[in-house]
Amino acid sequence: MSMINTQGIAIYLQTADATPLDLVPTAISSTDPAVITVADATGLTEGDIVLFGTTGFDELNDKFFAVGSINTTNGTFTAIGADLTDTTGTLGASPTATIYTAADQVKLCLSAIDIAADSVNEIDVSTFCEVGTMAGKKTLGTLTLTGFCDPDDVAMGELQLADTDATMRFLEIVMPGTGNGYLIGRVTLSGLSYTVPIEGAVGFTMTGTQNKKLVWRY
Amino acid sequence: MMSAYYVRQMAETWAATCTSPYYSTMNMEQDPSDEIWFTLEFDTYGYQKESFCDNWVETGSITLVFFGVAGVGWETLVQRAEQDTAIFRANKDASMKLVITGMDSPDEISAGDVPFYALSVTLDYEYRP
Repeated sequence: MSMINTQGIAIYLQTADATPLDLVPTAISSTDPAVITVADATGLTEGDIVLFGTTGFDELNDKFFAVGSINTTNGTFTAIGADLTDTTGTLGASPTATIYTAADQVKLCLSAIDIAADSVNEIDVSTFCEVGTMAGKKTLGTLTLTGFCDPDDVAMGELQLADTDATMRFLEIVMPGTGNGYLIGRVTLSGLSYTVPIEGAVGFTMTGTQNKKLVWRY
Repeated sequence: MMSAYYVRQMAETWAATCTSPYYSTMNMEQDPSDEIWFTLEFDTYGYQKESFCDNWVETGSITLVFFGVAGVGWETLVQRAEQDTAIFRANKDASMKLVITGMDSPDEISAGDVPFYALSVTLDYEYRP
């Protein structure tokens, strides 16, 4: 068994002023990874983020993936972690692939990030005859970002914007090394707070909700 | 372990603002004739990563070692050590890379009072390059 050391991890957050590129897939292969054909793949870079919509494939719809290898001659790119080998879907009538490039992201220099899973509230349905519970309302998973304040870091400005605009953004955690993949999901950040020690570095903590659960793709 | 070059250089700049004359004893043979003088010693606990990017912090200590005349009591040197330590600590790195985070009380380090009467005061620091 091997483990992934966190040295070299990179964390990216969608910017408030992101201007994604909308592409129309003309074909999507049932392979692992899926190969997406578009009219023009120039302008794409490995590592860009793609959000698929109404593709006809449940494995892709409303999900984020990282762009893998690109073939500008054929107009194709792969989506890392998109395994369609067992799919029963077919290309829909109005498929979309929204591309977020490096210009639409900012790198976060965090000291820690904690990701908590979804939870389900239990409803007590016990009677005098027997004890029992049933599943109640699902609570979305949360995350906590921790770091140090740097006014020269553009990411600090983005976090301050995120704290007030309540806008959903994608968050990507790229694992170091080759083939270790990435965690990606959609989050809403809020609750920016600061710690000011007597001596030391000013730090911040920020909480967020996983609107779309962070998933590890590789 | 040795403190970073920046830490040593900044500390020597601050030492020059003190009342007592400062003599560097880092690879230097000194034989001051001053009744009271001091030097600096450096120690580090190493570097620690602070973020997933390339942010590191070095923690360590700067020790001010004061030397006084043997056989004339403790009051003069202790007073001077306290005064100069306060002056040293009052200096600030404008770039905020080096920050003093703590201080110990003066410690008598000489074995008796021969050939010098010596005190040391250790200051803890954080250095973020």
